[in-house]
Amino acid sequence: MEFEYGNFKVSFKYGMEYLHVTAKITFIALFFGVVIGLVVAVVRHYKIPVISQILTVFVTLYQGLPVMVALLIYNLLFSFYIADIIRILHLNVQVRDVDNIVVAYFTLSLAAITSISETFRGAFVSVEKTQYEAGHAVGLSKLQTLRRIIIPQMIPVAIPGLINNMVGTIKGTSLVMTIGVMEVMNASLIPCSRTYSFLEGYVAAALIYWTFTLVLETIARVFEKRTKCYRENITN
Amino acid sequence: MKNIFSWDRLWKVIPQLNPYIGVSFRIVLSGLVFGTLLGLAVAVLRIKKILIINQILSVYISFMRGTSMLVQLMIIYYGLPLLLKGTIGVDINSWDKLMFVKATFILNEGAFLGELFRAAIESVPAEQREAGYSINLTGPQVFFRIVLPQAVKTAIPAYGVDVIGMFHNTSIAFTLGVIDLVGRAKTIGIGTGHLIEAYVYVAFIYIIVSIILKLLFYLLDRKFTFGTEGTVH
Amino acid sequence: MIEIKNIKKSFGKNEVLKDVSLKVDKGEVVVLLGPSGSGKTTLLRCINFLEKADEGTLTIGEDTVELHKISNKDKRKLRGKTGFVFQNYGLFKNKTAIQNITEGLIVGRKIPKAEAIKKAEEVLEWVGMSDKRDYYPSKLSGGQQQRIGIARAVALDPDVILFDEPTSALDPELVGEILGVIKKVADKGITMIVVTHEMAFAQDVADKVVFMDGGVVVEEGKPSDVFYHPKEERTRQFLSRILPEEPDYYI
Repeated sequence: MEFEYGNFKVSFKYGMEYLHVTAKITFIALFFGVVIGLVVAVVRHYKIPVISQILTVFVTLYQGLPVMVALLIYNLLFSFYIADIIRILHLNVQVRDVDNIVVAYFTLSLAAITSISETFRGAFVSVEKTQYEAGHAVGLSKLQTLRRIIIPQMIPVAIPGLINNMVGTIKGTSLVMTIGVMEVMNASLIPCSRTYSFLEGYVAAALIYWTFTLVLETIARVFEKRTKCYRENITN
Repeated sequence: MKNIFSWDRLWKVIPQLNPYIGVSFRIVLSGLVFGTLLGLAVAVLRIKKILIINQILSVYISFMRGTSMLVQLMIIYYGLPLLLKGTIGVDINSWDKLMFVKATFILNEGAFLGELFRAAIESVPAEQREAGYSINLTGPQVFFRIVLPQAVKTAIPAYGVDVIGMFHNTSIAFTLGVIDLVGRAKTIGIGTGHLIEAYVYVAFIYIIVSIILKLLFYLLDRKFTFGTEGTVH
Repeated sequence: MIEIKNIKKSFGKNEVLKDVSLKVDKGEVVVLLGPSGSGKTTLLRCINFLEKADEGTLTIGEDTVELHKISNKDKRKLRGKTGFVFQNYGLFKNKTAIQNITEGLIVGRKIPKAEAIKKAEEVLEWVGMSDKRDYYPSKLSGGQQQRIGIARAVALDPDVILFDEPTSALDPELVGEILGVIKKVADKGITMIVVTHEMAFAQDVADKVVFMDGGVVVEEGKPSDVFYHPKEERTRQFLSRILPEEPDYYI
């Protein structure tokens, strides 16, 4: 067995063709992660009765569950119930036409929501109590204080943590190869099934992931640098 | 709808899975022990900023941070035998698959813990070192008696998160065909045609162990307070 | 008993010490004065090898070394004769008050543990910190931390103690009590080199005042001479800024 550069090039080309799938999974997960994660963090931060306790238990337990295991379970449930779902919703599609990429969206979104909500929750704590009191003192309502005073101060503090969440999400996307979704990793391996030499495929996939992560991280770091002054204002 | 889950099958599957919890622990343990040693070496080398070595290490760290462990595992599984045979002529094709998993975990942890330790060591203010020198301690005494204890304290929470993450990552070992919890769950599924009960129990184990680990590190962190939390006397 | 000759030190292109020499006799208290950036702290740090000087020699007692090519062995030998009190106290955060003091005695000096603890308890008592014996620095105020810092230096029985702006990180109301402790150290007859901006203290305690500016010694002499009859214009300017003869206004 040797490392064939030619095979590597073919694998790289295949992998790149499916980069948009990996990117799509990443961005969908991050979108829901940020939006719903923020809501979860707010509910928990303001200790809204019942919902807050339920979310605390859920987030604590769910963080103990590896993404891989979650993915396998959801995929199993999906394949088990998809026929029923189609029938109940009267959808005009065939079972074999439904792509289980929705399982990938769901699993990674849920993982992103829990981890990003924790990032936001930590950032909330960094905003001083007097900021809330000052907001109320000038006659803002609770929601106005949150939206106009607290969240703008909390976001810059959350950014370094969010970057870590983002890197984690990109890495998570490669796991979906195990449920057969065609993305960078599986696509890079397509040529390998002909050559029976897999190293080239995996190296190609690794390079694509690595570059993808580095590019997104670099963009995020620029943003992080720009907001540095706000962060220092708040944490000092 | 069909009956996908049965409690009976769950009770039956538990004793079949339990013996395989140890496989995950063994992976974590070698990652922890050798990863910590490798990480310390990486941290010290990075702090010393030796030319070339520093560049090589930052590429190594960037790769480990920027790609998933699944990719790393596969590259090591297919690539390491090739590399070792090509360079020093050692044939490791007969290695147990678990060995490749462990090797991946050690290399991955070396990078992550290396960065963690470096940040923790560099977070100790220069004055702490100077104070050590001023009372005539030697360089190694200053490092081991003053800097390291303070760095360890700083590193504990992140170390805990890292160990739990490592434990979660053991769930990818099955992709190589290693029979760990997930791997065993799959073989049970093939044998009986019922997978979900095994998966549910696997999920349960991962959640419980994660919470226990979290608690342990919380207590460890509390122990290393140096008077910064709670009241002393 | 301490003699520094022709010390030079640059940070990059910035020449912080340009050929400074200083002599301190046994039991003498020398106060280093000067605007910030004048090199006084760097000089102090070079004496304790916390900075490596580019040139110059240092003599403490019988031992003379060349500062730019000193061996680790000589470094430790000479450091063993000095104590250092830091601006930000420099207490080991992972050690209690008494452990901060015994650390140097047991590990540095190899004094038996029981003896070291006895010695440490004595100095704690002496600086009035006996009741804080087992507190970590994070539980102590700045003034209390600096008392421990001074006790740590005194416990080592050094030939000379170097004080680097020991009160400048303190709240104004705590400065007086720490200066009181430093005066107590001076009264013991210990040789001291003190970098400070506290003029009243300098006048009261110092045997000699050394005024530095721009990396050189501009003027030195008795406090009464330097403060009230400065020979140099630069000294006069500096003093007029921090020692107003007459208050500009009354409340």
